[in-house]
Amino acid sequence: MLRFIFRKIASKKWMFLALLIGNILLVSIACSNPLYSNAVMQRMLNDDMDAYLLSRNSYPGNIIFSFGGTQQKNGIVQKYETLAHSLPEKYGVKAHYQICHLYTPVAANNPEIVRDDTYYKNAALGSLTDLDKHAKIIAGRMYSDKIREDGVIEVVVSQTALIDLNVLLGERRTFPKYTDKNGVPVTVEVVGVYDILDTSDTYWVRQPKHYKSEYMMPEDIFRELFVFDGSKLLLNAAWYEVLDAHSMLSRNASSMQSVIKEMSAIDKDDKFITISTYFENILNEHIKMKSKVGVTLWVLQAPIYILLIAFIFMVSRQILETEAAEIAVLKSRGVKNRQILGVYFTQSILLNVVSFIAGVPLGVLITQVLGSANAFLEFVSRRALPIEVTLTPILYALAGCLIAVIAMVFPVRKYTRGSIVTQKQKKNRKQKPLWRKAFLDVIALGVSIYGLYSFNNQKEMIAQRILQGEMPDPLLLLCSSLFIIGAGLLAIRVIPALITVVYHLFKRFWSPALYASFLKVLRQRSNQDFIMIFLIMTIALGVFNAQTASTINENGEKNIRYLSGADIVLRESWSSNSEQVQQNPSLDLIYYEPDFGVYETMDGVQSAARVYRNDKINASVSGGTVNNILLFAIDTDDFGKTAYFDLSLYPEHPYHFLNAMAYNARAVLLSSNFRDQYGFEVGDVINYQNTAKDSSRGIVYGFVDYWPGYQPFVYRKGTDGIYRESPNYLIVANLSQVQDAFGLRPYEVWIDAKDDAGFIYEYAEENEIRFPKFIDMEAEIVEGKNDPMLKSLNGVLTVGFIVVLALCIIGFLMYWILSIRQRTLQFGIYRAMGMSMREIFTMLINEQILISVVSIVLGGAIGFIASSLFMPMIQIAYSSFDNALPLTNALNITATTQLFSVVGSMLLLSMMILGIIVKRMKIAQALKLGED
Amino acid sequence: MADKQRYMIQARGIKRAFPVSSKTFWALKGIDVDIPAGALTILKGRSGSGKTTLLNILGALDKPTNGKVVFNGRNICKMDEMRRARLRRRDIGFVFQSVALVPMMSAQENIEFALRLARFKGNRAKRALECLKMVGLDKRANHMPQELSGGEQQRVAIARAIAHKPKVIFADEPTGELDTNTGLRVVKIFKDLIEKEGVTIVMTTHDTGLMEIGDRVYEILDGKVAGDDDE
Repeated sequence: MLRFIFRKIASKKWMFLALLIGNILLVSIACSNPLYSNAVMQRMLNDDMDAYLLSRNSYPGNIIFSFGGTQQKNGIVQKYETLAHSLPEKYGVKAHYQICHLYTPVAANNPEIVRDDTYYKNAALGSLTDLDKHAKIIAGRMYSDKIREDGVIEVVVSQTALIDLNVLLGERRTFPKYTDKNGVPVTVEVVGVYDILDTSDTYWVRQPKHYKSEYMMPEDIFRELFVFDGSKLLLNAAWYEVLDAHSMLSRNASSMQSVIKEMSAIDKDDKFITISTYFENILNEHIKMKSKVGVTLWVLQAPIYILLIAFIFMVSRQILETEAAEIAVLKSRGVKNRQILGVYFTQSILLNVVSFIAGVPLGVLITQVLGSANAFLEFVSRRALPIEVTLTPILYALAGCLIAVIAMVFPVRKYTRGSIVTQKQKKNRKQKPLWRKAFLDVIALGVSIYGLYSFNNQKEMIAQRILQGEMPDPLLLLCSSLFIIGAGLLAIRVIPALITVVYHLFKRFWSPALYASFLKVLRQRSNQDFIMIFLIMTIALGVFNAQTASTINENGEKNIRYLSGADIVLRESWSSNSEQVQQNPSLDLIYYEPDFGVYETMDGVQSAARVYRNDKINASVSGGTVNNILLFAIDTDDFGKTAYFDLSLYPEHPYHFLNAMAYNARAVLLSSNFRDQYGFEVGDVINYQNTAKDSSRGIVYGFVDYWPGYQPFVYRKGTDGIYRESPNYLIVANLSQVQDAFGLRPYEVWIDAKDDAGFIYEYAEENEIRFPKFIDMEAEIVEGKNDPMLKSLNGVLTVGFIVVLALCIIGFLMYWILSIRQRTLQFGIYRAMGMSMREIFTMLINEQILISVVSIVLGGAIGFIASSLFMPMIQIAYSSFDNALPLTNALNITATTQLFSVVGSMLLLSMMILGIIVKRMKIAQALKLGED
Repeated sequence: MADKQRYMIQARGIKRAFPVSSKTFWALKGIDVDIPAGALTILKGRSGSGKTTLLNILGALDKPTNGKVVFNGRNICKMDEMRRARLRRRDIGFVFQSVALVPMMSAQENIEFALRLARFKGNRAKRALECLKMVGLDKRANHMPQELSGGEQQRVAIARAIAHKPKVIFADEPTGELDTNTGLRVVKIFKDLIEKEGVTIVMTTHDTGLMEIGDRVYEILDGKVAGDDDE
């Protein structure tokens, strides 16, 4: 049987190659899905861990497991210690350190020699695992491991403890309350002062300054003295489990979360125990994001899966079509259906073994490509994704194989039914495909339009839910794919009718070539539908993907630019007399202004502006006061030069407003939502004040919808925990006027940089300045592109398009080569009837126009319609709090041109191949071919 | 009588070679034939004798490796592809063994298409029906080829071949796939056409029963003319 299958495959190698390619693509895309989401999430987890370290200056991988109590219950400390030390394993993470901090409660202690300045502060005895390996001694020496012969225990203290406890090196203290096993009170001698050896050492879960009242002794001695069953003494133990944060696996996140839950249950129930996990929040956020990214991937890849399966199904049917006669012959000789199915099943298994072997590595490659996609059809070399082939991707690949096997074997049933006679009868009968009979196109279109309709009705609610971290309904997101598929199929249904009309209207005037092309397109449709579907889908998906990706990317970027306001926005930390004011409230709060001139003259600065921002301004309006207004106080000239204005947002050039404001110190601009709510008019007077009740008066000079750095609406969490959109009002005033009224307050420095913002980092480093507020617009944009949602969007849309394009090229060539081969006889007849070669070419070109060009145009139209209809939906799914600007449907010219030029050259290439095939055909031979 | 005969086609020294797996196979090894105008010439021979190859060469579908063919006074071997196409379009009609109708066109459309190709001036539909009537199939004008029987299809093919009033009709085993009665009917139609329209017909056959109907019969044997019954 295998030999039979191999011979069969060899005789139709091109078709089987096409089938194999489709199969490999299906397997690799299926396996790239978990590979990619896992890799991208893994990187995000690592980045989050790093960000935690940077922002809080503490290591995120810590678990602190603490116990406090007596040891009257046997083995209690041992029990908790085992539990604590088992945590890393439970989390499936390597532990950097497992540290035990044992300490007694603070207790009275007496010095051996009383100094003048001795004071009797209670202190604790403690020990820290491997302290001697991680600490450096800054005075004296490290303790010895043994109790001295005189019974004295050597201890070391931190610098803080040295001061806090007021002890000296060499001083001895006796603790009457704490005795050894013989009942002798413990005496310790301070032999050294320790500090952190290496500041980057994660050993120091708690800094030495935390141990401010502890005498640290070797752990073994402490255990010998105080850790034994039955001790009535209160004992504190803290186990620091320092996990390797980078070995935390995103795919283990859920199981880690359940361990955390388990631990917090212990924390709640066991009064002796408290457990705190530093990475809990990161993990929770991570799991939320993970399911979001997972669903997004599925939704975005859905049309690709559908197309791939359809492709495999159709190619195998095409192959079966050529084998129908053989099947019928086999059947007439008594071969059973089961045996025939067996042949095809074995054949599909063979293909899938190859597909699996080739598909998994290709999946890894695709994942790399996904990871390097920066925008649609745009790649950058980023650091490689941490791709890991685990069981899940393998299972996905196997599932892909299974589906491929089904898609290959399923159509066989149709051919095993009936005899040779019914086969021939069937061939002559025209059969409508299932989707036509079931009106699947209309249904798909209907469902998607309904989805769109219901989305538009509940837009606000859905947006709110997403803002609260809920997943958008994947079905809703699938609507765009459904729309494309439905519209594509409907077009296939409708287009022939249009062509028929054209045909009947004009047929009498046509040249034979044109006439023949039209007839061909009208009357021999079976396979042509297939290629048209693929072309329409490819182009529609391509256009949709390009539009979606570029709109979301561009809007994201625009939003960042708009909300940042300028290339660099920073605020230095201002010193003030606030401490004095606290003690003496009658004093005025005075800030000491840093030198602004530094920024104006700095190398790399194009221009700089002072901007005072306060979002807690009240204004009196008719009928009361409005709170939480945002005030922008600016130097109009500097601001105009420095701020980033997106001119498309302003009906008038913003300089008009700035110029107007420059004439009058009291001039203010208001946001138009403020005007709309309270009916301000130009020339009105507005009184506003800060929370300290300093007030100012402005004359309204104009209204703006947008202002750099200003969000027209904000989401505020209501008392019921639901986020609601509420308008954010804006007042733009002259800085000098505001400073007169409010006094000098810390303002921001906005900078328009000549090139990149590197100089400001250098400046900050050289002068050791930390900016309490710092925005680097370009860095934010880069950061924005690293968002895993956005990244997977770009990646999937790009790879999806490439895959569909590949399918399309294969399908296209296969269709045309088959179609020309099948029609060799027909061409022979045409030529015998006196058609010239040129006319035959013209005929083929006409067919191309009727089939390919019409499909491409339709596909483009469907893609554009789909993107304009469904863009708001996708935008909302990716939305965050930072969407200030209206969504503008960006026409991605580059990507669209790229798309059409790729498709165009594909068509040209295919036509050339076809041309060569036709040219090689000899008419006489063509006729012979038809004779036997 | 023979030397006064006007010849529509005269072929001299026709040789035709086909490359068959690195060797050369000579399908025709030097053939001279004269096709009288307004008569039925039969090329007979077993399958593989080279008669179809000869027919294709006479009908300007194929070029001989050696030799020349004078068609109505012009040497068609020296014509370029465009001219040969035009010649086939205007002056020649083909009928093939396996019925060579365009499957996506109805009987009438097949004929109209031939007229369209021949740049036929006048009412194509009317002429198509006229030709169908000639072969007795005017009632089945709107049927698609697969809805017709083999004999009917062959008759449509003949109707198509004569529609544009060609000078010569080449028929390659037109009765090959038909039963004797239907075959005789087809040949009868040919005889009628010669009488009514004055066309020249060249047909190949291996059916010895049909030979006596021919005005002239050439027997092709292994790439050569076996004998000449007329002279």
